Amino acid sequence: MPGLCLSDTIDGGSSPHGVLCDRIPPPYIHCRRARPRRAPDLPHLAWLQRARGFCQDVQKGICVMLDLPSVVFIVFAAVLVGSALAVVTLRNIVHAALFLVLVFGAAAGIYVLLNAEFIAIVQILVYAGAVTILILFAIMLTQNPNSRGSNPSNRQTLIAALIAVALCAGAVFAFAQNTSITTASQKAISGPPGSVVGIGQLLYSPTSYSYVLPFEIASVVLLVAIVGAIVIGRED
Amino acid sequence: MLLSLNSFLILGAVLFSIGLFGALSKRNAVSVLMGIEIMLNAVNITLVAFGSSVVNPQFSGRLTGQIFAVFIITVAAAEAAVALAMIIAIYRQRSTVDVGDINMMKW
Repeated sequence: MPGLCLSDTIDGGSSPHGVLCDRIPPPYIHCRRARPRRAPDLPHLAWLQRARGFCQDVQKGICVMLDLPSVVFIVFAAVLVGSALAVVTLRNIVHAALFLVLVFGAAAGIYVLLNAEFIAIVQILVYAGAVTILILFAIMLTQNPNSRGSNPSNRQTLIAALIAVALCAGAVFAFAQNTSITTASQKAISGPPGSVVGIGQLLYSPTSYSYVLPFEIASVVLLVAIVGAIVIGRED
Repeated sequence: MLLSLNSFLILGAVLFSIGLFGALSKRNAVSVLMGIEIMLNAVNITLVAFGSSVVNPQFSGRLTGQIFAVFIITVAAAEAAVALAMIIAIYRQRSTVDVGDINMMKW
């Protein structure tokens, strides 16, 4: 992938001085403090070489890598956080449940970005398909006549917001502090796609390094949950 | 670099915090359940990101995070089914789903 192979060579704005880059067509590089010049008609690989030379030589300006996966990540992350905020802040619970579908769909996009296609499909099927329908059915069966204020907040809103903000700030601070995570994360997340076969072998193969026993226990958990839901929700 | 492990971890942390806020600050029991589902999704994103960041190609360590995510999705589906059945049963008995009013097990 051209965007990812370039990003190993170009400093992504982490050094104090930064680097100067030209504007390259496939991996988009935004340059602050450096006027973007037009790309001449060179073959793509030669362009990468030239950009690498530029970025190692000139010590002015700041490069910010914006290749296509990063743009997709930004879009999905924005949709994810925005619709999650809509879920927890909207006053109408039906609207909140519909925004929950958007949360699940954007999370599936994040899984695709992480090369986890199987998890993405399962996410769409189970969460966006089944769990949302269950929640909507529960909302319909427990609906008050007025659904306008059907999702009120309790008296702990302020302290809940404080706890959430403190947790978020602490987690982000910990990720910024932990050098082992940051050094391991300098490499872009990438890998061979098509992990469904590997997941199937890990789940089902009767070797010592598989998850056959947790899989069977999970099926028993599902059976117990189904029977329990029928027994609890039965009308008698 | 934007598309690194830290980006996904921070996204998971932010999403978990939003879900925690929803679960703590809502009166409707179904809304509390929605907050819990958002939190489970955040944990799934974190697990899959950690699994994808394994650079050692030995023994498919990359897939362990995805296996954990599969189990979390399974348990979350079971939990949603049981919790919604309980909510409907409580509503049938007491005509409310306000978690402040459901205090049968308080003493």
